[in-house]
Amino acid sequence: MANALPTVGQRFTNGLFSENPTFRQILGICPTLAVTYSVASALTMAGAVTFVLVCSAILISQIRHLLKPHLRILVFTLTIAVFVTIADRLVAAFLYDMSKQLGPYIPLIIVNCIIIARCEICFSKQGLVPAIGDALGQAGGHTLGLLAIASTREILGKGTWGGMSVLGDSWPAWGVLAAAPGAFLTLGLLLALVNHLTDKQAKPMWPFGALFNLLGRKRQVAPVREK
Amino acid sequence: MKKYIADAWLVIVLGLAFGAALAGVQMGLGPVIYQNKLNEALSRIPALVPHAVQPDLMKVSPDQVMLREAGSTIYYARDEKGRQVGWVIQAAGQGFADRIEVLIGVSEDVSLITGLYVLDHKESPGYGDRIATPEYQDPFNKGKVVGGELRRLRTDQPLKVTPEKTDSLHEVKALTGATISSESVAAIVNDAMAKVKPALRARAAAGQPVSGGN
Repeated sequence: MANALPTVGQRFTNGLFSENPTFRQILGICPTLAVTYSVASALTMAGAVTFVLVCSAILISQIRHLLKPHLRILVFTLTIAVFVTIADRLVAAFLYDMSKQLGPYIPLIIVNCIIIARCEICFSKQGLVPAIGDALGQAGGHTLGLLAIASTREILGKGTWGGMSVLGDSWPAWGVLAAAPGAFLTLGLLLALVNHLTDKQAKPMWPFGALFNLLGRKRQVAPVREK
Repeated sequence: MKKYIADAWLVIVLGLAFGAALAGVQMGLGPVIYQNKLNEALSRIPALVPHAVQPDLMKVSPDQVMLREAGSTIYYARDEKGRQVGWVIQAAGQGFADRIEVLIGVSEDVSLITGLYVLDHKESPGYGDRIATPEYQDPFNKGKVVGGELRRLRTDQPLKVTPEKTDSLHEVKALTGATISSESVAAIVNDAMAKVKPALRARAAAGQPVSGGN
């Protein structure tokens, strides 16, 4: 018997937590590393990805019965490219300075694996409502990932959050975190933290561990070696 | 043939629909984006031409701040008293990844390059995008020290891109790992100079003083 597809609620919460694109699927890492030097740029990127995910979910879920198996990837790519181009033009028109800061990273959403993966896994298999739930869940998870990394980098690297001073002038800004290597360091450390918090064998040392447990986790834990 | 159409009709229909949608978006947002770029170009004039000030579009019309010659947009660079001190040429060409759009500041007689600014590009992050940094732009913006004297790049010969720093006022150093992007910008500058210099001189010869407006 075929497995039942997840409901809209499951799709949404999975995207936020147990299938989080940044910390669980490790997808969309190129923009995650490149644009998280500030919270503002991370939120702009997250907004653009959300727009493309939701629009792709609406369109692909509505034409899913018309898709030919051997042409589906072409249709996915075509659809994503159009919505990314629209997002790029919108940012250039209404957030011009941010468009200059983000440079090629908005157009590069076309090759962001999160979106094409959701087209393949959910949008082309489920109806409108579960597809939108999935898109919002994945977009929310992606936003949480970007926001966590950008907040860590901006607060520790510049002493600010969203451009507002939070640590004061006495904070010796850790410039390395705001620079390119800081993206790798922060992502690695946050990944380790999330893995620790969601590890079944580790005692939950933080309320977040219990939260992840509550919302369901799919991580396989290696068997304990016998002595 | 029927088989191919039966297979691909959805792609064809989507392609047509998407093309129309993008055309609509461009029609709607194109003027807004153009205005954003115009504002940015005008704001860069003081940095590209020494002693120039930023024109105020609230006080003057776009015709009074720029002209079109040889297919290029050229901005007047004037000082506080309204005297012509140079020009800012908007030029574009193919880069490594996509189209590169630049602003080139030149002296009033178009003999010296006084500044360069990359208005738009999609060059590779970490490599080609360094065309927008001082590492590449310093010779354009600050000039070169030749014989202990700071001198501007000249436009009487086409610019060349070299692997090492030189004293020549017709050469700029290539970016390591981004030679094509470096050469693309130099080619855009050379192309703009080749087109615009004769046009501005012809304007002057036809009785329209180079230092005047429209």
